[in-house]
Formats: sequence, C-alpha cells, structure tokens
Amino acid sequence: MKQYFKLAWRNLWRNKRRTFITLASVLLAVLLSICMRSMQKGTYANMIGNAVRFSTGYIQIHAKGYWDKPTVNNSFENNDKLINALTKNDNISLIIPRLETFVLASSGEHTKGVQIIGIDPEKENQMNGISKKIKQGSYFSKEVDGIIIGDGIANYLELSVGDTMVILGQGFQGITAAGQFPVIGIFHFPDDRMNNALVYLSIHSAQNLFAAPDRFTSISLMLNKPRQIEETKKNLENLLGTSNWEVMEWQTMNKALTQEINGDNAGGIIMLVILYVVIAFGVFGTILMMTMERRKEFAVMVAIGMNRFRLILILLLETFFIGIIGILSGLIISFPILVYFNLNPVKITGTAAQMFEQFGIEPIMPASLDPQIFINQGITVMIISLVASIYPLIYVKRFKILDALKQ
Amino acid sequence: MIVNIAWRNVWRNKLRSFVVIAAIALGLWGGIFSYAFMQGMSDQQINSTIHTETGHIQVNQPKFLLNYDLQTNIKNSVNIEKTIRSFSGVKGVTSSIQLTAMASTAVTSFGIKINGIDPESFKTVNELNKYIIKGNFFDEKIPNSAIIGQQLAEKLHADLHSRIVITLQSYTGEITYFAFKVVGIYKLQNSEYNEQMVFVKKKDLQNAIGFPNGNASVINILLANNEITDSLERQIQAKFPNLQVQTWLELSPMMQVMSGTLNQMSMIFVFIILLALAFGIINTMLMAVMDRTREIGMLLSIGMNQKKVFSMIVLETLFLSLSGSIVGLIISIITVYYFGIHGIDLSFISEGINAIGFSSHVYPVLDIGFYPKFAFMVIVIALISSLLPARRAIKLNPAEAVRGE
Amino acid sequence: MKKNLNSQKIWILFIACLFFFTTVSYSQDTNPKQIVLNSVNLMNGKSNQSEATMTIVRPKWTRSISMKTWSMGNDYSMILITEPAQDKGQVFLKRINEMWNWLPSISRIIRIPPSMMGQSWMGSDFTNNDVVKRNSLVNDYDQTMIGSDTIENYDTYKIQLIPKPDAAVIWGKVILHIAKKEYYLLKAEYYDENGKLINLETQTDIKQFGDRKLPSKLTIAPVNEKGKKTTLEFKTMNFNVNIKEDFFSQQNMKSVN
Repeated sequence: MKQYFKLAWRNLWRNKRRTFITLASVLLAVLLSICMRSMQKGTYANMIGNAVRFSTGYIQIHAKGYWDKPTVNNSFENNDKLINALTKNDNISLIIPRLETFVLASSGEHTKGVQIIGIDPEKENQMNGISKKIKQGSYFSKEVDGIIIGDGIANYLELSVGDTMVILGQGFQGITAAGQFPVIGIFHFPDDRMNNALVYLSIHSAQNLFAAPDRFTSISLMLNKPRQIEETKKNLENLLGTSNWEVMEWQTMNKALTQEINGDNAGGIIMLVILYVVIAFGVFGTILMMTMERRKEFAVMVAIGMNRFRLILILLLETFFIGIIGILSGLIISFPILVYFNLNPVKITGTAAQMFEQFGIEPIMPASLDPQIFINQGITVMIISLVASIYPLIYVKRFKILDALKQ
Repeated sequence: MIVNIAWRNVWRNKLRSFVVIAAIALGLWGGIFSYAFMQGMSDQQINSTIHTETGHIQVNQPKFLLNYDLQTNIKNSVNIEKTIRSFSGVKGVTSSIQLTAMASTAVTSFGIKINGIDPESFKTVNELNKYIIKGNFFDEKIPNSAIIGQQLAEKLHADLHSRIVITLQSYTGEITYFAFKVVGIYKLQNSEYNEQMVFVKKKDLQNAIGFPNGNASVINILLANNEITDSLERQIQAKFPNLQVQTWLELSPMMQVMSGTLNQMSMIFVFIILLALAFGIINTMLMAVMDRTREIGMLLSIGMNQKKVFSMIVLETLFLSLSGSIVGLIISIITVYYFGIHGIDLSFISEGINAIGFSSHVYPVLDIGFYPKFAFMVIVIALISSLLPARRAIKLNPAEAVRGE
Repeated sequence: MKKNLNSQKIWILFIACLFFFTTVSYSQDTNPKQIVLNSVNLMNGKSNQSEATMTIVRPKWTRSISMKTWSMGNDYSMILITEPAQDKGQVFLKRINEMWNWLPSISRIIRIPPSMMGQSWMGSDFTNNDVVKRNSLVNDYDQTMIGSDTIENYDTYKIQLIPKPDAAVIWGKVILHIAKKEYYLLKAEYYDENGKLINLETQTDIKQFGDRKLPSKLTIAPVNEKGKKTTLEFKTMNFNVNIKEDFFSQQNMKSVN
C-alpha cells in the first residue's frame, strides 16, 4: 500500500505544471465557495444583530408563562445570583433588564393603547443607541426623569416636551397602575410602528408605577458569539431550570425575521449550488484534459503489465492528494481574505445604504468567520473533486491499448 | 488564414473543445440564472407587499395611520375612487374601513385590525383571495362573515365556522359588540399580518358601527406596473392635496432595506460565479495549450511568427466562447422560462421555509436585455482568460516543445 | 254572618290564588327563559346596593379587594373600591356597554377603550366584558330545559343555553343549574365552541339579605388553569333602593365615596 502512495505522490510531481493547474482549480473552488458562503452568513448575522438590538436581544429570560401572557403578574424578582451567573457567562456581552406591559396612554380627550417599557437608561442605550434617536427633548439622565414617547404617539395625543401623559394599566397582582409623567423626550425610529406604539420609562419609575419593586418582565442578552446561541441557551436553562423560567432565543420571539432569514438563506443556498455546478465543471474539465494528456502514459503502463485496477488506485490517490493539498491551501489562502473582509466589510451603496443608516443598521456586508463554513465547503469541494475523478477511472478501466498508443 | 486554422483547430479535438464550450456555457448559465433567481426573490418580496397588503399606492387622511380613528376618514370616497380609476395606468381601486378592535373567543382575546372591504373591488387590487387555505373568500352570502389569518385562528383556537366576538368602537364612539362567523382562513408570508388583519364585508361593518355610507378609511390602488408608481403618486397627490398619498415603499420602509441587501448581495454572488467561470476557462485553456505543446512548437519551428500563434489561440478562444455563449444562452433562456413558470420549490432546503407559505416557490425573472449583456461579459472574460495561455504558448521554446515532455 | 261571608270570600280568594299560583308556577316550570330571568332578577332586583369583597387566588399569591356597589337594572352600575390602600377611592362606572374608571391618585376619569375590554378586571378572573355584559344570559341565548339535578340539597333545573346566531357572545354553550324553588343560580358551566369546559362558576353560602335569601359567595375558576380562582363575597345587600339613573354619572364618580 505504501508503495502506491509513493507512486502516486511521485506521479504528481513528475509533471509539475499539470499538477499545479489541477491544484489551482480545486483551490479556487474552495476559495470561491468559502467566500460566497461567508458573505451570506456574515450579512445575515449583521441583519440579525441589528434587528435583535432594537427588539428582544439574542436571548431573553422570562418567568415561565410570560411569553403567552405578557403581564406584570408574570414578572420575576431581581436576584443577584441570576445576574452574577449571567455576568460570568463569557458569551454574554450585555445584560438588559426590562419591565414592560400594555397600558393606556391618555392626554386630554384622547386615549391610546401603547406598549410601555421600563428600561435601564444606560444599558438600553448601549444596546440600541436610543439616545441618538431623540429628536425633541432629551434622553434620561440623573437630572431628568419622566417619559419618552414615539413621535407618532406625541402627534396623536397632541403632546410635546414638558406636557403630562397619563398612564393607566394593571400592575403586579392586579393593582391599578395609574400615573402621570412629564414628557421629557420624543423619539423617532425609522419604523413607524414603533413610533406609534412605544413609550419608555426608567425602570425605577416603571417598577413604582406597576407596584413591582425590583421586578423585571424580561432580561435581554446580547452575545459575543451569536452563533453559539444554542449552547448559551442550554447553559442558561440548565442553570435556571425550566420549571420556573423560560429562556427564549430570537428565532422563537421574532418569527418574521426568522422567516426572512430562512427565505434569504434558501436563496443563498441555491446561489451556492449554482456556484458548485460551475466549479465542478471547472474541476471536471481540468481532470478530463489531464486524462487526455496522459492517455499514452496509461497505455504504456498497462502494456508493460501494470494491472488496471492498480492504476486506478494510483489515480484515485493522486486525486486525493491534489484534493487535500488544494483544499488545505484554499483554506489557508481564504482565511486572511475573509479576515480582511470581516474587518473591512463590503459597503452597501446607494439609497439602500441611506435606508440602512436610518434604521440604525450599518450598511455593510461583513464576512463571517464561522469555522463551520470552512469545514463544510472543504468537504463539499473534496466530494466534487472525487466525483470529477470518476471520469479518468472509467477511462482507465475501458481504454484499448492500441487506440491509445496510436494517438 | 489564421482564422481558418483557428476554426479548424477548434474542431480537430472535439472532446477538448466540448469541455471548453461546456465550461463557458455553464458559466454563462450560472451567472444568468443566479441573477434571475435573485431578481425573482426580490420581486416576489415586493410583489407580496404590493399584491397582498398595500397595493402600489394608498390614500388616507393625513393623521389616519396614527391611531386608525374612524372619524379620520375620507369623505365621499366613492367619487375620489372614480377619479382615480380614470387615471391611466390604474388597474384597480378599492376602499375599505379600517379600525383597531379586539377579537375574542372563549379561550382568549387578541388585539386586531379590522378591515371592512368590498370583496369585488378588493379583488381587483389585492390577491388575498388566492391565499385562502380553508373556506373561501366571501363566496357565500352569509351575513357577518369574516376572514382571518392562520396565526390568529391558532391563537384564538378558532376554525372555519367559529364565532368570534369583535369588540369595537362605533362611529359615534360607543363600545359595540359583534359576532362574526369565520368563513375563510388565509395564510400570507407576513406572520404579523396573519396575526392582525381580519377582513369583513364593508356593508356588515357599516351596519355594525354606523359608519357613513360612501366614506372610507383608506383607498388602495393597484397600477399596471411598478415603474409608474412615483408619477401616479404625484398625480393623485396633486389632485387631492389634502389627503395623504403614499407608495408601498413609504408604507413599509423595511422592504427597501431587504430588497437593497438582496440586490447588492446578488451582484457580489454573480461576480463570484463569473470569477469561477474565468478560472475555469483559464485552467482548461492552459491545459489545452499544454496538451498541444508539440503542435505549437511545430508551428513555431516551421516559421509561424509569435504574433500569429498568439492570435490563433485568442481566435480559437473567441470561437469557443461564442459557441459556448450561444449554448449557454439557450440553456439559460429555457431554464429561466421553465422555472419562471413552475418556480423553484425551496421547501426542500429547510422545513422553516414551508411555514412562509407561497414564497417557498421562487420564480426567476430576467429582463430580456440582460441576456446579451451577460453573453458579452462572458465572451470578454473568456478572451481575457485566453491571454495567459496564449502568452504561455508563444513563450515555448520550439525545440523543447517539439521534443515533448 | 258578615264575618262568615268575609271568611268565605277569603277562602274563595285563597283557593283562587292557590289555583292561580300553581298554574303560574307550572308555566314557569316549563319556560326555561323565565327561570333564568327569575334567577337573574333575584340577584339584581330593580336596583341594589351592596358591600362585597373579591378575593383573587393565584398559585403564588392571593389578594383581596373590598368594594361598595350600586346598580340599577342591567344597564347601570357603579363600583367604589374601599380596600386595599393602593386602590382605595377608585370608581368604575358602567353605563350600558361603556365603562369609565375614576383614578383619584391622578384625579382623572379614563374611558376604557374596546381594546381593553378583554382584559381582566382588577387582576381577577372577570374580564371588563363580564362586568359590562351581565344581562346576556337571558337575551343572547336560546334556553332549553335538559333535566334536573341536586346540588347541595337543592333540587335544580339543568338549563342549556345556546347563543343566538348573531349574538355577540364568546361561549359555545352555557349550562346553568338553578334551584327549582328558590331560583338560586348554584352552578354555571361555560363551554367553548368545541364543547370544552372553560369556566366554572358556583354560588354558595345562602344568607338572608333584606327581603330575600341569596347565595352570598360567588366563585369563578378557569378550569384549565390550576390554582386560579376568584371569589366574590357579599357582606350586605339591599334591594330596590332609591337611586335614579342620574346617580350613574361621571360627575357622581368623584363624589360617590
């Protein structure tokens, strides 16, 4: 067996130019498929990251039952143990507590249902930069406390900064939560649905209003490595137990985004398949040419008594070597390229870019460095190369020595 | 003379030429098809918004969208509709009453948006009737019938023929209760929409809440095509300066982000595919030149000058890429046409896709003008790719080349 | 003689009355709608005024709310919260289908919009709708007698209520158990459209209130949610008190204490 390895290896380097060309085709196949997949995954990750920033975070922790019945009754008490455990988890970059529920907002004759969110001003701002979205008045600060409302609500209830908004809702254990708050800021998000439906209080005001001292309805988590979300979720579930808690990932909470990404991803996979077809034919063409070039060589070898099956084995090993070397070097070369495009992402241009910026999304398509991409694409290209090498094998098994020698 | 030699060379080694032609054809097909596919996906997202949600243009009172107030309605919408219908390029106009309400069953209550529509004119603007998965679209003359989305049906534990009680505000502001019977359940791609939008007949709703006959909350307009959207928006706005006139894009800005990303991504992907094509050609041509080392050496040694050998190889490539392009174009036109009608079912890729309903099928589309552009691009790429092997060929030392390996 | 005649007259009158009453009670026996109406009227009177305590029981906590109520027929009522301290002084006013809430802490009256009508009232198992729509059992359903039963030593009619085709009620079916003689509504079962039992209401602890005896404790429990129930216990109840429609006004909400 060792002999065959040696023979195959030596064959490769006998005609270096030919080997290099074949190697190059495999290398490029790996490189391009990795680049494409990495771009796709990176762009999805960017879109997801930005979407969850403005909503639930990657993971949310609730008291069990909150998701089905989002009321203050389904809130939970803040506890140091929980926060400590979350802080210790390496993958969690930001812990954002909230107390939110549906209430009536009223001013003068008008009343309107709104979603009220009690926030930790500093952490919320770290998460989504909301302080930059305030177009009138100011964000929460040590000196200023009150209520921050969407411009759609302000418009409907005819409120401006300094006016008073009345809130009526249900607090903890059904206690009536009624309060009036000075409007300190009016925000404008690009999505009008948010402008028409969201108001913010500082978490302490909210806890007072809802008679829920030191209680939260949710803790949102931002992650360092979003692709390890499943792992982190399982960790948290093991830590907290699922009898009193629900740990939910954005996929479950934001179905619309999940659908969007799934749809795009399916499209991305079709693109990838098309790329494979083009690549496979490139590799196949090269191998076909190589076989044609070596017809005489094969004929001579069989003529002097080489068993055809041994020849096939040697050819297989050659392809295998070329595949391995091509793929490995493809991986090595693609890595710095992807790192570069990860750090200096492709910029989206035109009106779409302005739109992105309005949404607070960076208009970029960063490359993803998920190791899974490298592994998957390496394996796929290896399979493509091996499939392409079936042609020379069939040829060797069937060719007639005399015909081949005549050429 | 060179042209002749090159042409004959192409057909001398049929297998080799076939490989190159096939590579080019496939590359061209890959570029065209993937572009058409992405275009199809992006169009589909836009179309689903236009044809199942807003139409191309929506008209309402300036403050209406803030709170869906009944009083903030369009007076005498019947005449306005008539005027809009007379604009050229307008395919369909429908008006509806929209308000927020609460739907309840014995199990639970849920905040909804109720749409009182006129089924006949609604069909000329909105294709919701094609996405009914159970029951029908107001086909029977059942009084107080409603059509709800699948998600809402699940949340309310309601099914076909279920009674749902809708609590809403009457035109004069009193709370009123109405029982509606579910006659149809629809399922659109947009799950938020499925959860919120309940459709009832305009007449039933008018009776229920005392909404003035002839008025409407919103008017939705479908146009002959998307290109004229902006110009018609301006025309309608000019005619009715006191109303708010918005295009589908203004109504759902997130669409712009989505389709923007999709467009730019597709450009990059097509670029990558073309890159793959270029390298495929370079590789096969290099192989081909190497294969013919002896032949080229011979030509050089019998006195053919380098320029001529160079142009011979470039010409060969040109012939090959022309033939490849023709084959590729034919395959592309056929596949884009075929899948444009039958669609590509994406549901096999992941189960999640199934949940998005109709859009699990993507129908590739491509403007006819793109085909020659792509073909031209591929030929240029092929020619550029042939420069390297051609240069190799003329660098050969005739003596060594003739001797062979 | 005179006396005799009188007594004779009285006797005749008595027998006539007896006859009359038996025929009336006979026709009432067979008319389930009338039985339900009698039962509802027994609880409400023409008007009434009461003091009650509502206890909300949840798996992890319980809470009691005390209140004074005034009502007139089915269309008008007013509720003043007297305990606990946080909610004290709040007033709810119901006029036909509308509901307002007076909040002394911010001195405002807020009208409950339709979108809030499905929410629970004061955190209990009653929704705002339940509070507003009490007359529904008589008018929104077709009643049929389906049998009799015995509940806590009372012989009861078992009456099935199926909503009228265009009635705006959420239940698929309601089964009432009403005491034959006393018209106490001892038990009510609320089913959804698929015939699944959703809410179970029981009335117990019969007490004397003014001119009539009534169950003083009403318990409602969502059957599919373990450990949850709400009880409403009446401390005092006066019937046919002297209040008029103008009592149930927004102005009066602020001064009703």
